[in-house]
Amino acid sequence: MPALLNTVTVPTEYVRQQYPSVKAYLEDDYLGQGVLCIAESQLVWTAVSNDSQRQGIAIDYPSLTMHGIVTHDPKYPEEHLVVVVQKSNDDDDDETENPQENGDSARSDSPVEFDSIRTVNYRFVMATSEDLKVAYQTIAECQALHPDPLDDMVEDDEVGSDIDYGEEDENNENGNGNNDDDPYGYNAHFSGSHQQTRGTRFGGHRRGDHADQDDHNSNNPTEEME
Amino acid sequence: MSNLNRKYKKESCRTLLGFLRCLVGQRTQIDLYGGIMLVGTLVDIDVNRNIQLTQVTMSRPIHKPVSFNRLYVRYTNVRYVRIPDDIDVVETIRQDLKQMNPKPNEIVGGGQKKMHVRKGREYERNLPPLRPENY
Repeated sequence: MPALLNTVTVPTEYVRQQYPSVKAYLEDDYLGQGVLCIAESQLVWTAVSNDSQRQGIAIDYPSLTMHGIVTHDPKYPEEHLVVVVQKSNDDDDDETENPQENGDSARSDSPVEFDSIRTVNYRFVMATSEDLKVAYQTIAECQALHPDPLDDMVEDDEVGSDIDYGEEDENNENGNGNNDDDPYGYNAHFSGSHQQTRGTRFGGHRRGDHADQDDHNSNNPTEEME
Repeated sequence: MSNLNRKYKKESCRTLLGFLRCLVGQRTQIDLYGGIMLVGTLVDIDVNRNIQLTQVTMSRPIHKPVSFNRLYVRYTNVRYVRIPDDIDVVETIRQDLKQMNPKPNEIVGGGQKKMHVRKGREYERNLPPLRPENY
């Protein structure tokens, strides 16, 4: 079992949960019993040892494809946590290098082109069922803290920049439990076009005939959307 | 937390996130990059589009399938979410938008309803125009 474990440092900051006696498996290899540490920066499992340097696994949340609870598996009688991690191509020694494959295409940058995603299964057997549930939930929460930085590039483009999304009413000062009247302008959108369709169908209004055509959009706040 | 709500509302109106959340409770197939397929019941889709499923079967190429009781999928891995055939997409979107922007007289809540209507008209008058006058 030479290169299955790396030297890792256990995170000390923003540690959400720590579980002392967790058995770990990498695919079908048993890695031993150790400490599972769920921190906001990384998911770390370290084998119990007397060495000053800890051997284990450190998983970054962006490469944590998915995680889940498995209760019935033919090979593992106890219910456990499965963590599926993306493996970059560089780590595989036994596969020949394909010159077409981009080195970082296994990461979330450009997975579409080459479809060269390779994943590995880690399994963690917790001490109790409750630990398992809490661990699952905690990892889910930490995952939500790591959106990719490439997103949110399109923030305030032209479409919708004139729409009022409503105030930040944290203390509910305005007194309405539900949100304000149509902060997105959808009633204006839908009721306006609806009115025009109605007009042309029933012959009540012809487009371009009247100078006050624009008033349609603002005159019908109570128009029913069917 | 209100920041998340705001972001959710914004994303819901601009993208299909609101529609996806309407699929919660349905049994769907989700295709991930790398040939991974998941079949499970949708539990939750959060504002960042991370997906939670229950009673899931994960099939990977070459490997044997794995069954999960609960599964959380990072959004960056999702390629397709297959919509069940019996879902009317446009109608669902309409209902979702309607529910997110209820008219004053449709809000359930009794006394609060009246107060909302009164305030609503005044509030509406004071809102900045949705479009510039010369649009």
